Order: sequence, then C-alpha cells, then structure tokens
Amino acid sequence: MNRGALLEALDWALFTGGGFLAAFLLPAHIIATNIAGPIGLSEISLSYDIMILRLANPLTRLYFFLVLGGTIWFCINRIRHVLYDIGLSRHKSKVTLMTSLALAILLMASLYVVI
Amino acid sequence: MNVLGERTRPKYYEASSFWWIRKPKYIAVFLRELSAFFIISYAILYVYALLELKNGEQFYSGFLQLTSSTPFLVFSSLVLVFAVYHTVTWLVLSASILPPFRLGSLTLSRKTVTLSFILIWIASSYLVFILVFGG
Repeated sequence: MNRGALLEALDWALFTGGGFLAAFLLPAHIIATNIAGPIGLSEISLSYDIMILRLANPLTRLYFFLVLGGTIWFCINRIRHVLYDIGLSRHKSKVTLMTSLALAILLMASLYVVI
Repeated sequence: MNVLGERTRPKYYEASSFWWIRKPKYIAVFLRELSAFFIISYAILYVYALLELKNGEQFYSGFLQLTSSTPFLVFSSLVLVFAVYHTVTWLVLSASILPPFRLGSLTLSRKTVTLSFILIWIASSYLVFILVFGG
C-alpha cells in the first residue's frame, strides 16, 4: 500500500472511530455541560473546584481528549466533504490543506487543555 | 468534435451546489452532513472551556456565567438536536454498512445490531453522567 492510500485509510479509520465516540458519548456530554449543569436541572456541578478535581484523574483527562479529539477528527472530515459537495471540489487541494491545518490546530489545543 | 472528428465529452459533470434541495431524502442527508458544523462548534467551545479552567477560577467563572445565558442555552439545545440526529443516523447507517455480526453459527440481523447500538448508547450516556460528571 502506498503512503497516500495508507494516510487515507488512517483518516477514514479515525473518522469512523470519532463518529462512534461522538454518537455514543456526545449527547450526554452536551446535556451535562451545557444544559443540565448550567440551569441546575440535575445535581451535576461544573464549579471550578469540582472540575479541577475531576481533571486530576488521568482517566477523565483521557476521556476528554478522546471525546474532543475523536469528535474534531470526525467533524473536520465531514466538513471537508460537505465543502466538496457544495461546489468547492475544484479547489480540492486548498480545501484539504485548510481543513488539515484546522484539524492539526484543534487537536493540539485539545491535547494542551488536558495535559 | 476533436480534430479527428471524434465526439468528445467532458470527463465529468460538476454537480450543482444545490443538488441537495431536489429531494427530501437529499435534504436529510445534507442535514446529517451539516450536523458536523454544529457539533464541532461545541467541541471548540468545550476546548475553550477547559482552557479557561486551566487559566484559573476567575476566567472559568466568566465562562460559566456565559453558559447560563438564554442565547447560549438556545444554541446548546440546537447543538443537542444535531448531536442526537448524528447519533441516530450514524448508528442506523453503521448497522447497515458494517459486515454481518456472527455469534457462532448465528448471524445477527440488522435490526438486532441497530438495537444493540442503541442500548450501548443508553448505557454509555449513563456512564458519562455517573462516572464523568457524577458525584
């Protein structure tokens, strides 16, 4: 298998993994952090002290990185194909470059916030 | 016609940018693809939240205040709708695309696989509430 095909296979494998992570975990994560927590629908606390305590656990940090990193990889791949589909396929190399750059920056940021 | 008198035609026809509004089925597919924009906006926002947490209590408290505002809650609800739409379409589609699951001599039907995925979704959501955000 040549290098390009290998990278493409890796991209689609991470897209699939990220898609499953987002499908299984993201709705609950959104409810906890953006809906139930802020309006006090449940006992979920998002206070500074409790969040620091949660992030002290390496498993929680790994969970945050996998959810965020997987979701970002999956979304960037999908966005790239949406951009091709709405007529930007004639600028394929530019779209690929820009989306790959965005992916690299966001993955580095996700890693930075959990280490 | 080319110089040899042969009929020529373009290598491919470029689809219109609005191909997706032709049929309701295409709109559903396009909305599924569009969900990525909403989902990634949440992911970016959460990376920002963790960054503010890292910066200190003062920064993080400001962010928490923002998340309890009405416009933010409307945005969060919209993101949630798209996230659930992604989950449902992804799990149903995966059950169709993945190779058949076999348990010994028994091959699981597509319906059973979809149902299993939905049960895993419910269980993993419960685990997120209990293990990550609980207590």
